[in-house]
Amino acid sequence: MKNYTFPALLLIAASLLLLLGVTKSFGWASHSAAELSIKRSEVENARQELFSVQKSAEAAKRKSAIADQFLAAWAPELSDESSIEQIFGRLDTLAVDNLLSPSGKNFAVNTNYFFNGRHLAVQSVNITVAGDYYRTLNWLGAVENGFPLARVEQISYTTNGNSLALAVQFVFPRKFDTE
Amino acid sequence: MIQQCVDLALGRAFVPDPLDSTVPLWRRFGRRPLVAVTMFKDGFEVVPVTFSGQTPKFGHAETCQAGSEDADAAFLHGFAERHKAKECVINLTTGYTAVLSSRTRRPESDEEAILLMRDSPERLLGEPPSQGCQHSLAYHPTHNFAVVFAHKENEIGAAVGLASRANLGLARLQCGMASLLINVMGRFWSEVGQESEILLVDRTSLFYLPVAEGSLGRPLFDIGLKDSALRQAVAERIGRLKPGAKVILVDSSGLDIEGMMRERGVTAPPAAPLKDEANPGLWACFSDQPHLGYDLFPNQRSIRPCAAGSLRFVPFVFWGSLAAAVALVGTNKFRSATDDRLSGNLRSQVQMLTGAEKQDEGLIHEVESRDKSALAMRDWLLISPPTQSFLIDITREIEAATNQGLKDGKSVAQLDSLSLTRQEGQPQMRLVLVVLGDAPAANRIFQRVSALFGRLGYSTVDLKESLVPQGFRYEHLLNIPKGFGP
Repeated sequence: MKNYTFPALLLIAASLLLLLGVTKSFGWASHSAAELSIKRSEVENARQELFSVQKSAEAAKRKSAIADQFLAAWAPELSDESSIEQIFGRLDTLAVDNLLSPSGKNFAVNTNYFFNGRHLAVQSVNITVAGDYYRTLNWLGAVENGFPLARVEQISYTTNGNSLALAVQFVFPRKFDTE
Repeated sequence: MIQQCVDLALGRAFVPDPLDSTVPLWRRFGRRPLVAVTMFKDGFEVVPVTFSGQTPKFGHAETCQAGSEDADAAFLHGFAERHKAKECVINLTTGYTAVLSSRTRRPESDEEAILLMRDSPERLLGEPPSQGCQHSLAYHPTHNFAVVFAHKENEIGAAVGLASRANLGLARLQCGMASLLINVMGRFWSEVGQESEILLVDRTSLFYLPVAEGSLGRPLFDIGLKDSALRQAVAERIGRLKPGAKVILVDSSGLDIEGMMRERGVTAPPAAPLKDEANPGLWACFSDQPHLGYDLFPNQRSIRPCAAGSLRFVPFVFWGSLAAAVALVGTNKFRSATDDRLSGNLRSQVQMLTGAEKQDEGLIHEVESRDKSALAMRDWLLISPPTQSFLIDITREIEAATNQGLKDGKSVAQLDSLSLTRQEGQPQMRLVLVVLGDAPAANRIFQRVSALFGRLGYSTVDLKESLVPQGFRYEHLLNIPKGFGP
């Protein structure tokens, strides 16, 4: 009996280890089943979310049709008014066309222009034209017509003897994208 | 240790080693052939032995007269081969002495008796063993007396040598007379009564022992006798029996001892246990009743130990656990692998769906962004009303005021400068007019321009009027009409 006490204990210990392994295997299987269940529910959730997002996307696309048309109409204008050389050239041309003498042209880029509750990147263009008062009005109208996105930020008439000068600061938006 | 674990797991450990003298013969040779060798002075007798349960069954005996060692060994080897036996039990009938002792100690168990008698006989004998002897003990069942048998080692050596030369394992080496006495005293003590005389007779020897309820008498024995000498010794012993004493007789000599007793006037029939056994001495050796027989083989054999029956559950538990582990772990592993594979597929699906969702969210974000851009551009356009028409309107009002003054013959004022500045971040603009002229004329212009603002929807938030050289300065802070607002 004594000769086999330790081997018997070893075999019983081995049996217990095997049973422990069995228990563990149930744990693994259960864990895998739980994982599978979680994954199934994740797939279901993802499907529902995708369905919901797809509906939202469809709705957004339908809703944005007008905005897209608007942007399509105005985007070329925004692009045209982004080149300062073009702006200066056209301002000069319009001034000459109205028999005005342009001077004092300069520009500045302002990335922090505050408008309607948010900051925009704009290009400020200053120009002074001298000549007859009514011609300056015509020129101003021609500029506003030629640059529909341009905004008259500041305007100032000054007279000096017989000479009349109109100093204008235009603001050209560079983009309206929100970050 | 590993071998023992393997033996235990495979169940071999529960099969006793054929040479393990601590295990009864019926357990060792229940399914294994065995040969019994009874050694006489003039030769030996061999008989095949089988077991039916715990009871030995003896086959046809063959006798070999003493010859050369090799011839004896060849005979024994041939006999064993015929019966497919690889082990033998040797029963010694000669070469012993027997004395009465009151110093012996009873062992705790049969196993202890065997082992102590082999390794430390003095602990059982109560005194050092006799020189050149191996011992066995027959205890009084209730009192501390025992008959101590001393077996000469040269006789034992000769028997061991025979078995060795015959290439047979020695399962046990016993003294048949000692085994018979142990058996009779152990199993038939109820026959003894208050006082009896035990008479054990076999083919060549006689053993006599007076016994009583609380004592043992001096043992007397004659061994290695021829037929006539045995007959004479038996007759003498019968002649010395106490008149009227109870006799317990075990006789395998072939002599008519009961008849001899009647002739000598012993009229009471003797008790005759084992009278149905052809060879009571061998039977006593093989039955291991009531105690395991002593093994006189002096050397320790190399044997595989036998596991107790109480450990039989161990291999069942082990193999059951192993089978359960293989089956259940395999099943669970398969389930787990299947589930993991499915989980992997589902994970891919989730990634795909999430990707599509992100794509759609990106689309929504892009749409929203375009929407916001469009709104911002719309607001920009709305809050940037054309300035030309506004200036024309102001100019007309100033001209109208001047014309009205000229028409009414009143003084007129002249516009010296005009500036218009939008307020960054506010739907407001600041208009500054500098008019040169007297107060009424300047006021007329101011009134008409103010009325214009009202008509156009501008509201004056703040108005500052100040004097300048030769005129007045009007500073309006105007709210742009809501129609232009976002």
